[in-house]
Amino acid sequence: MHIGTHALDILVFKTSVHSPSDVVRLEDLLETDDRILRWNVDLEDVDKVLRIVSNTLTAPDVIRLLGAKGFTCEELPD
Amino acid sequence: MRPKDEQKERAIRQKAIEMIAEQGLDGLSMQKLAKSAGVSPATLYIYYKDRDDLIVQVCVEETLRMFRATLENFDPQMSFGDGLRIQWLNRARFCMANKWSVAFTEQIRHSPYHSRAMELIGTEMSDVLGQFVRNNVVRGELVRMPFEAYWSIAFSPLYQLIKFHFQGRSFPNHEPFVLTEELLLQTMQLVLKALTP
Repeated sequence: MHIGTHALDILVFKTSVHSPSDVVRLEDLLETDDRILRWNVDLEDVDKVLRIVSNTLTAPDVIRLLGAKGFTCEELPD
Repeated sequence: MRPKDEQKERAIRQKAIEMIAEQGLDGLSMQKLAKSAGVSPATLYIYYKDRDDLIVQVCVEETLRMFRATLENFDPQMSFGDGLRIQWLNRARFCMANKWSVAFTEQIRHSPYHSRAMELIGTEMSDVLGQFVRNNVVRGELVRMPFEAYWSIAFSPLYQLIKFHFQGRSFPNHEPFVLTEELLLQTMQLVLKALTP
């Protein structure tokens, strides 16, 4: 299953992102990263879930990226 | 890649439909849904971008299911009587077999989610039904009238009967009510009479 170069990985995190202005700050970070194909934050959810579609990034990469901007995030267990 | 699991996806969809049907749009959160579908919140986000995406996608799927059921064995070239009969039977069967889906659609119909779903679905269903109406007006089998008036006469009696059926009775002081195919077709004949020039 999912053989080939287009297998997409979806990474899901609980984050400390809280407001639309936080999301704007993330935009600067994530929009310019071409390893990220799609991303969004669900601000309506209590976990403020960050969802990232990428075929190269790993969870620790994302945690480091957000950490550099002062956000905490932890991968949600499956 | 975490592989998608058909069975999980179905459970998520069914629970989402039931939650919205019972508690309205405000009754659905990703956390509550995950719990009641027996999956982790992370799993929900594998399938859906966020809560809005989930609601729109479920609405698209349910609407398409209803459309397909409504158009089964139907052809826009049919005579008005035959076409109306099939529509009544198809719509009634779908409603009876999909009580949750019907209640879900009622909750969502007047929300922006419904318009977004309809944009994704396109106009195939209304095109087919519009063609059926135009054909029959041209052939002189159907009275020419504004769409809203036509639809109200053609289908409101059906949906009212189905509502009474689900309620189990029409009004509090009336006998219990069960909608039979016989009564359905009898009512349809009167509708047909009303719409025939």
